[in-house]
This record gives sequence, C-alpha cells and structure tokens, in this order.
Amino acid sequence: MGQDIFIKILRYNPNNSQIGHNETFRIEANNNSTILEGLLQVYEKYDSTLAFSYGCRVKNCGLCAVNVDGKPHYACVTRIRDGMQISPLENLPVIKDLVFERRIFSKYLENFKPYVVREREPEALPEIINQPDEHTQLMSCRECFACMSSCPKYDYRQDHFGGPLAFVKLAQLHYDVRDSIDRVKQVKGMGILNCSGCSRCTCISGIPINKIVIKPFLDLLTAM
Amino acid sequence: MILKTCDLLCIGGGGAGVAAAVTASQKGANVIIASKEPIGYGNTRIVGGVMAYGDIDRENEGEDFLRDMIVGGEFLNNQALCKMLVQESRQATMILEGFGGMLGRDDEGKVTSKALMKMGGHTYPRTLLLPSTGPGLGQALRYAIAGENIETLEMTIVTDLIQDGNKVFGAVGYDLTRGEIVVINCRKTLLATGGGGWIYFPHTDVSRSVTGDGFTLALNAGAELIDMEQIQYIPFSLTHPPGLVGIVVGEPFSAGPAGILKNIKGEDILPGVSLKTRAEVANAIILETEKGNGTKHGGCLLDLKENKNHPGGKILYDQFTKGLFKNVTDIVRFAYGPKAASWDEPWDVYPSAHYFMGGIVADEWGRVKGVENLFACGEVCGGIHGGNRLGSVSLMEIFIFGKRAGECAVFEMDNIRKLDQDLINSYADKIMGMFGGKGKHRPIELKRKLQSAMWEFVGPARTEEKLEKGLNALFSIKDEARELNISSDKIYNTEFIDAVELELMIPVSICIAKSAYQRKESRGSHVRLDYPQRDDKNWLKNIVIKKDGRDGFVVEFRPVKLTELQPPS
Ligand SMILES: Cc1cc2nc3c(=O)[nH]c(=O)nc-3n(C[C@H](O)[C@H](O)[C@H](O)COP(=O)(O)OP(=O)(O)OC[C@H]3O[C@@H](n4cnc5c(N)ncnc54)[C@H](O)[C@@H]3O)c2cc1C
Ligand code: SF4
Ligand code: SF4
Ligand code: FES
Repeated sequence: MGQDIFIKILRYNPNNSQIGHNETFRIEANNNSTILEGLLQVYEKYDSTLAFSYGCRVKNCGLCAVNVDGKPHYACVTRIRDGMQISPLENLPVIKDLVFERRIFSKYLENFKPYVVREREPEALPEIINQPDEHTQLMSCRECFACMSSCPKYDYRQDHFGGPLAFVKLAQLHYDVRDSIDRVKQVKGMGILNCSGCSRCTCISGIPINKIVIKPFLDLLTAM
Repeated sequence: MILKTCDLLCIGGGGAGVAAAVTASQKGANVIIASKEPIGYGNTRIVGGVMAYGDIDRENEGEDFLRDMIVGGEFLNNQALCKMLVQESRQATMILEGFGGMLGRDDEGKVTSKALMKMGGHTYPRTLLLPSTGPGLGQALRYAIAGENIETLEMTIVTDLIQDGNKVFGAVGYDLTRGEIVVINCRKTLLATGGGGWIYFPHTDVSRSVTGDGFTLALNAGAELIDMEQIQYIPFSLTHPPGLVGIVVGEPFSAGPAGILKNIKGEDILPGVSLKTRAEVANAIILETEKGNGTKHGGCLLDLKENKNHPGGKILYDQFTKGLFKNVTDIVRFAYGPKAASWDEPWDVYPSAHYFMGGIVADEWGRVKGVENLFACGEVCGGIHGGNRLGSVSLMEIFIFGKRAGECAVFEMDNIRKLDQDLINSYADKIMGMFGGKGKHRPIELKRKLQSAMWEFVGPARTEEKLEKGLNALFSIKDEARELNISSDKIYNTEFIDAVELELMIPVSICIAKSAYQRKESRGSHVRLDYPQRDDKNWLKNIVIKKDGRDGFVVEFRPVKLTELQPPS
C-alpha cells in the first residue's frame, strides 16, 4: 500500500483574495502515483474547491500542465514525490488555483489569421500533398502552454512578444504547403526578433522548438 | 446575465459540433458554438488517429463496408443510416482537410490503397491515419472556427434547453471562468455533446468532459434514446496502476498477426484475435475473468512478443515504438515498465468504457425525433452502429453527420421566437439556486458513487440481479442529489460543475440500466451472464426509452428494419 507524503499547492481564489498562498496536503501515494492522482485525492478527500484541469490522463490533451518545483510538467504522467511544490504555469492569467485563462491567447492569435489560407481551391479531392515532417510534428503540439511558462520574455499582458506557442502556431502554417500567407512576416510582427535564443522554451511534448521553429524563422528574417 | 441571439446554436466543440457550425456559417447562418471546454476538445481531441475512408480499388466497397458495419453491429444498426454513411464515406476526409487537418498519404502524397490500413472487424483495409493524431485534429477544428465568423462561448456549460411544449428555442448555460449566466435565444439548437464514457470513471479512456450531458438534455426536451445498453468497452485497456486504469492501449487489430490473448493459465482464449470486432474481444476477456481465470489485477494477458518474429507483426511493432502509436508505447512503459513496452512481457488488459453506440434518435439530417428545432450529431446520436462500432468509423461519422445537420438547420430556418423575461428568469433562478447549497453531500462524493455503481452493476458483465442493484443505487443517488453542498464562489466553481454534471448523469445512467435490464440476451457489447446467447428470434429489436412526462420513463421495443441485410437464419 501507499505511504503518506506531503505536497504543497499554490492556491489562489479570485472570489475572495488577491494574493496566492501555499497550502499543504497529506496524501497517500506509492512509487507509481502521479501528480494528477494526488490532485484528485486532495479534491475528493479534502477540498473540492481546488481548481485544476485535465482531460485524457495520458499526455494527449495538454490540459493538465502545471509547474512542479518551478518547471512545467504534465500532471498526468509525472510521478508524485514528497515535498513537491505544485503551482500554476507562469506568465499566464490565472483564473483560480492551477487553472489559467486560454481565451486571451486565442484572441491575440486571431490577429494573424490562424488557419490555412489558400490561394485557390484544389482542383481535385483529395489533394496530392506531401507535407514536410515538421508540419506533422508541429501539428501534434498539445497547446499545453508549458513553453510559454518557461519563456522569460513572454507576458500575457503585453502584445509585443507573442511567445513560443505563438511562434509554433505560425510555424504550423508556415510549413503547411497549402497555406499562402507570409508567416515569416507575421512572426516578425509578433516580435520574434526580441527572442534571446535562450532555448528555455523546451517543449514537454518533445517538439524541437528551437530547431524547427525559432532558428529557421530567425535565419529567414536575418537573411532578408 | 448575458443574452445572445443567433440562427443556430451548436452545443459541443468536438468534431461534430464544429463541422455543423462551420457548415451552417458558410451557408450564411449566424452561428454560436458553446462548449464547456475550449473549442476543439472532447474525445475528438484525444483520438488515436484513425479515420475510415473506404477502399479505393474495389468495386464492391460500398456493400462490403455496409455489411461489415451491420454484421459487426450484430444487426441492431439502423441500416438506412448506415447505407447513407457508407455512400458518403470519403466526404469526411474532404471536410477535415478543408478545415486544415491532414490525413496520411502514400509516399507520393496520394490517397491510394497503400495509405490504407485494416482494423478489427473490417474485412478490407479502408482506414486512413491521422499523422498528428488527436491534437492535430483538435487544432484543425480550432483553425476552422477561427476562419469563420462564428461566435465562440468557451468554458460555458449548458445546463438546460429552453423549451415550450415540444419546441426548443435556445439554451441556458454558465460561463465557468467569468462566472456568468448565458442565455442563448436561437432558431435552431444542435446537440453535439459526445458520448458518456466518464460515467464509468476510472474504467474509461474518454476525456473528463464526456459525461453524457447531451443525452439528458435531449431526454428532458422529449427526445428518445435508442440502444442505451450498447456501450463499447475497448478490449485492451490498462488495469493498473490506479491513475492509469482504463486507458486504451489497443484495439483488436493491434494484437497483430502473431499476438495471443491469454488467461492466467497461459491458454489462448481467442484464436485469431486481431480479426475480431471490439465487442467479441472484450466479451472474451470479460467471460474469462468471470470464470476466475484473470490476473491479480482482474485482466487477461495480451502477449505480443511473437509479432517481432513475424513480417506483418514487425511493421506493427515499428508503428508502436517509432511511428503513429508511439504515445501508446510511452504509456505502456510508464505503467508496466520497459519490458512490456518492448513487447517482451505481456500486457495486463481489461475492457474499459470507450464509446456509446446508443443515443438520441435523429434522422439522416440530424433532426431529433419528436422535438422541433432540435438537431443532434456525432456520438450523442444513437442507432447507426448497433451493438458495436468498428474502429475509425466514428471520426468519419461525426464529420459527415455534422455537415448534414449544419446544412439542414440552415435550410429549415424559420422565425425566431423571442423569449419572455419570466421564462429566462426561471432558468436563471434554478442555476443561481445551486450556488451556496448547504446540503449533506459534496457533488464529487455522489459522482464517484454513481460511477462505481455503474461499473459494478451496469458495467461489462451484467445480470438481472446486478442491474436491479444498479437501479436501486441510482435512485438513492438521485434522492441524495437533492441535498448538495456547493460553495458560493461564482468564478470557476468546481463543485458547481460537478453538480451540473451529476444532475445530467443520473437520468442517462438510469436509461442505460433500464435498457440493459430489458435486453434479456447477449448481443454486441451487451453481455448478460444470465442470458449468454444472442437470441435473434426474440431480440432483433431496438430498445427505445423516453421520459413519460412526469418523473419516470417509458420503454418501447422496435423491430429493426432489416432493409439491406438479414441475419443468417
Ligand atoms: C481515447 C480515444 C481514442 C479514440 N480514437 C478514435 C479514432 O482513432 N478514430 C475514431 O474514429 N474514433 C475514435 N474515438 C472515438 C471518437 O473520438 C469520438 O466518438 C468522437 O470524437 C466524438 O465526437 P463528438 O464531436 O461527437 O464529441 P466530442 O469530441 O467528445 O465533443 C463533445 C464536446 O461537447 C462538449 N460538451 C459536453 N457536454 C456539454 C455541456 N453540457 N455544455 C457544453 N458543452 C458540452 C464537450 O466539452 C466536448 O467538447 C476515440 C475515443 C477515445 C476516447
Ligand atoms: S528562446 Fe526565445 S521564445 Fe524561447 S524561451 Fe528564450 S526568449 Fe522565449
Ligand atoms: S510547443 Fe510543446 S510545450 Fe509548447 S504548447 Fe506545444 S506541446 Fe506544449
Ligand atoms: S490530462 Fe491530458 S495531458 Fe494530462
């Protein structure tokens, strides 16, 4: 059976306070238990006002990313350990506890036609297409916002730096052979030239952001 | 309170809802799409990544596909709907790619038979892969909505449809993150809320949001639900550790040509497992463990090792370790360790709730029977898959029916009926009355109670006695749910979410239990230990259930219309 461990969760309730505070919970866990299991235990046993989100339980939907001891992880596939500090992702508008608002980012993205814009309709369906591997890789982004949380330049309150996920979203379209918009020009407008190239935006789903997004965009822009 | 008006309100932001919304918008309708998650989520977001297309080189594909669906569904299917679906099968690919999604191609970038795979229960290869799996699909849906002039209400849970008699005029919801009631007054309303696998949590692989809300919303509006006892338990799901119970790790085809399904004694319990339907494989595991031949985790053993010495099996192995299904291997490693991930150790598997074949009765245009102005499409609809859904057909179905429903809703637009303030207030009061409830029970406590009762008594292995217990448990939960304890916070109140979902889960669960109680035979995914045989003489009938106008339900038995195909006598 499991043993008792303690975890700390950064709580924030917009309904009654303006500052966050840590709360410690005792839960039962074994070597295999995940952070998501820990959160569910807290929720079921002690406090069902704890806000956190999840969907698939297998690093697929991207809804459960949280900061664990300062670094982003999927709660569903990260083992829980005694003394862990769990907090919401950084740089994002926290709604309550571990949940943040995604709509602000969607609104921002709307300025850049975030969909395939074709020059003309295909003649025959299904089209004959070879998408580059980068397209496939980028389309599997979980939109989990972990990279945004790690980026020292991103802040949702400011529009001058789109942030790594915004660059990923435009890169999806840049590599899509069907799309006709100049996404390189757009990504410049997102402020990618202010990226320090620090590579802290490691993707927790394994997308090589620097190699297939940031570096190629910067190379194209400096070559212009 | 926020008041909105539109031509068409789509409830649910998965593939079905988005397909309907985009179609209607392209035809000029003023559309709102509401979802309790962001748009592009739900089960559509987490698909393994297979979508049926149809075979390319064979002339009889239409007939064969139809036969596979009906034989696989054990003759409960609505054959007319199946026929229509099969005829339009390739449309689904065009719709999704029109949104910006991508399906797999051959090496030259063409959709040819080389790009097709064959899944369990399909007699021919006819399925395309989605190279970026569910997340890629979800993002394509978000592209499609962003590209249209559609208003989105994300994080907005619909609690009631607004109706007068048998006519629907919109819906009431609650914006969870802003903490506000939303009232939508519209000409047509469409339900695309998906299935209800979460009713069996943790013994399910569905997304947390898939709680079956739409079934109850439709029931309350006077709609009929069909085949509710038919719940697809996907055969190969994890049995442990606790956090990963129920997670799918394969369907019949993924046993591969040399894979063996064994009991604890090492005996092969289902030769040719990779060619069977999901129901056949799940039922074999269920019956074997009922005999006491299961593992200590209550499962059977899927031994894949021999595939590595088999040419066809080797290809599959590569797909699992490097290719499209790598995510599955990662999960197996996480749960069962490296030897299981490399197929050197067998996997402990048991079926888990994956898909609802049953659902709302609607016609080929998504018009809900018995309720005016109401449409439905996607997994929330019932009848087409009968007793078993073949792998990869759901994605195909949601786009085709989504498009059809969107088209028809626009075609049938009539005048909007303005809601009077008293009516709006009565719905709003009901929602506001939930906040700050001081009852005895926390909503999550009852939700978990319902889920465990459903798994234990109305789950994969059913008997009359268990179903009676299940119904009793559901009725007592229904009573207890009158006394809920809910915080009064308006913004992101998780107890409120649980309470709304609980209230919607209870009626649909009762319908499942009642239908399962009635069907005194085993057919499709419905396994009755006390009636182990399929009984074509008495049970080529659909079970249809609806509300009786008060607090009860009426059950009706309707002979299946065998217009295309008859079972062998
Ligand atoms: C793990 C897994 C893998 C699968 N893989 C495949 C596959 O590879 N191929 C295939 O063909 N099928 C697959 N399926 C089945 C397929 O995913 C679903 O049947 C299909 O996606 C259903 O689509 P939908 O649009 O009807 O519902 P969903 O995609 O589930 O969307 C329903 C939406 O409705 C919203 N909603 C629900 N209730 C409310 C409410 N009260 N108010 C507001 N919004 C609400 C939800 O938030 C959700 O966004 C898989 C299923 C699972 C669980
Ligand atoms: S490389 Fe650029 S985008 Fe990535 S973390 Fe650093 S500054 Fe942010
Ligand atoms: S790029 Fe990676 S880390 Fe960033 S949102 Fe996508 S999946 Fe998450
Ligand atoms: S719950 Fe879906 S990624 Fe963790």
